[in-house]
Amino acid sequence: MKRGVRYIFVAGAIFSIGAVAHAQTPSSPNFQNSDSATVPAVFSAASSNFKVDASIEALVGNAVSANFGIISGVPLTGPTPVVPPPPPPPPPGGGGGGGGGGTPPPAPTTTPPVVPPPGAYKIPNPTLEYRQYTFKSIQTIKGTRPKEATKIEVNGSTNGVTLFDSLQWKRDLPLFLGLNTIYVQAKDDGKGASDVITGTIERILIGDVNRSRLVDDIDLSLFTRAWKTYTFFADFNEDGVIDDADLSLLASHWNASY
Amino acid sequence: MSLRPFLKAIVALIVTGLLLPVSVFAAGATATPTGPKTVTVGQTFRVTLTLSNAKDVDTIRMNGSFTQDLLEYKGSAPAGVFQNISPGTFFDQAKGIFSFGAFTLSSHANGSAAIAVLTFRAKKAGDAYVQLTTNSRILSAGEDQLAGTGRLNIKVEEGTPKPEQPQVISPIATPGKLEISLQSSSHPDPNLWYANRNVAVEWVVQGKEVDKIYVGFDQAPEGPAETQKDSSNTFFIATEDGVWYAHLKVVFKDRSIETVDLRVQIDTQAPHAIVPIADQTNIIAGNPNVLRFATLDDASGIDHYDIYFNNILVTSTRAIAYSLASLAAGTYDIRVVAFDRAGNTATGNTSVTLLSSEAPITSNTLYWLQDMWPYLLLAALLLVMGLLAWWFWIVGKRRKGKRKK
Repeated sequence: MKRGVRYIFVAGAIFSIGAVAHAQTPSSPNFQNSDSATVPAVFSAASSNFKVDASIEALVGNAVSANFGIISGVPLTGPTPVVPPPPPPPPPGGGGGGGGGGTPPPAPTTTPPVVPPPGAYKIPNPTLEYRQYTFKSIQTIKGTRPKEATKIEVNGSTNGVTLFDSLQWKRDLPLFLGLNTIYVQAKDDGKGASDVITGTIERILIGDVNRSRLVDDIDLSLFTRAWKTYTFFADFNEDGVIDDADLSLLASHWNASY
Repeated sequence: MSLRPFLKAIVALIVTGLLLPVSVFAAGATATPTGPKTVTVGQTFRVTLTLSNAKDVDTIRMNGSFTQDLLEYKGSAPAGVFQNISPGTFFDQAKGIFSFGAFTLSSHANGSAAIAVLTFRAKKAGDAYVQLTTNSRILSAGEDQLAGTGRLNIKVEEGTPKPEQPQVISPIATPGKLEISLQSSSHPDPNLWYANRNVAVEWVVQGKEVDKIYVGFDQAPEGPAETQKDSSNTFFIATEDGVWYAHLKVVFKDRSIETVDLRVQIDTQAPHAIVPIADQTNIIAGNPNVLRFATLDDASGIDHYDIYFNNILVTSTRAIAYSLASLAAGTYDIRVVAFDRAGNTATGNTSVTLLSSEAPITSNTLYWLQDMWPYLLLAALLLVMGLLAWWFWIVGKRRKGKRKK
């Protein structure tokens, strides 16, 4: 009998070691794996300048009228930012080098190329969903993350980011008035990181129907035309109805500007 | 035949054309004040602002000036299709300026239309004016149609000033001294607004023998008074909110006539809905943050706002914004009550959360379990092995006992 117990213990110990070894993949936050061979094949195709998925890109095309966008590596087009966006986090593996030449290169318009640290590798990109226009001071942005990602950084920080077991993530993002550029990057616990995904949310001044950055009689005139019908830019509380509540919000922001 | 007269006419036409103001040629709408050309000191009179050549106008803003030392601005009211007063409507008696805005949420103004009625009282004799300035606006779906504005010149002549407030007269008549009092027990102060459409009016006439008394009640400052009354009081019902006037005309036996008017201001409607909102929520306490709240009232206008934080009154204010920067971290249920000048109210609520630090990294339980599964599996295996070992130990012990027996 003693021998039987001994066999069970030995078998159990071997099984346990095997189980732990099996769990040691890049998806676990508790083990580091710097072996570049485990990096998914998508790494070679991924870049901040490439569309990852054509079907997702099509949704971006619909975003203009629907005020809703889903982005994966493709920024939405919009007006020229007046307020400079916050500096993006340096992506470990992103970007290509600039060319030499006799004339000075044009000023960078996006993330400047950063030399990746030694041993860095890429993981697949996360996706980013958001509403392109809003009157609210906070918007919940969300998306999916690759299974390798153990954290999602929004504008260089993991603060406020919630990760779900269904490979989803979300963040209640405070917004400034005007254009808010969002930078999202997935990272694992090693030196693996995705491209930096960008998006732009315009927080509109409440009452500013014509988006002139001033609430005045012209906005009131346009508001009267939207009364009891629907235009998103007159629906200041975004409840789907243009009514007295929106009129109150317009009044409370009268002559406001930024 | 000489061509000289013909050429002269051509040159005159060109010169005249160059000198004419641009607004005359513009095909847009114009706004002009119309009213009496002559008034007497003490007289209350109305100036009507009128649109011409309007096309589908939904919103107007009439900015203007008046002779502040000769005229007293008493108030404004929308007219025609413009039944809603816009934010930013105000007057400044010291500077002699006013800004009146109104809009319509139903039918629009076309052609010629009255848009507002301004009420003035003549203070002093002289040459006065009411003028609309060119920064006024006549808007249709956001497009400004304003092509020109006008001016009304008013000659204020000397006269016996009428009292503004109802006169309280002595109960004992002084022989030979004419005294007339017109008062309202329900609406005693003509400068206040009341949320009551039933108006009780009383009058006293003494000092002369009265032949007939006529009364009237309408929205014109000076009558007429056409209903004969034998009593010394009567009731009127205001059919809508706004400024009303009770009129008394006394015909004496000596054929002389005296008239007295009493202003009554009525507002029974609550202000429009109010929706307070903070510029930011879920931000760190101490950061710049403002609570904004405002609404409109179409008759008397908004008087003030009461602001409650967690059911505690924190301030009464005429402003439409309140700084939240000094609040400590926490969640605040905010209630704002808007009062119009007649005491009618509208209430709105919101909630603001101020954080002590930035939101922490969060993850849900299932995600935590997902990452911990190797450890949980190992723990479960060890537990099973322990149970099996304990079971074999018990079984072995029993067998040993049986063998001994």
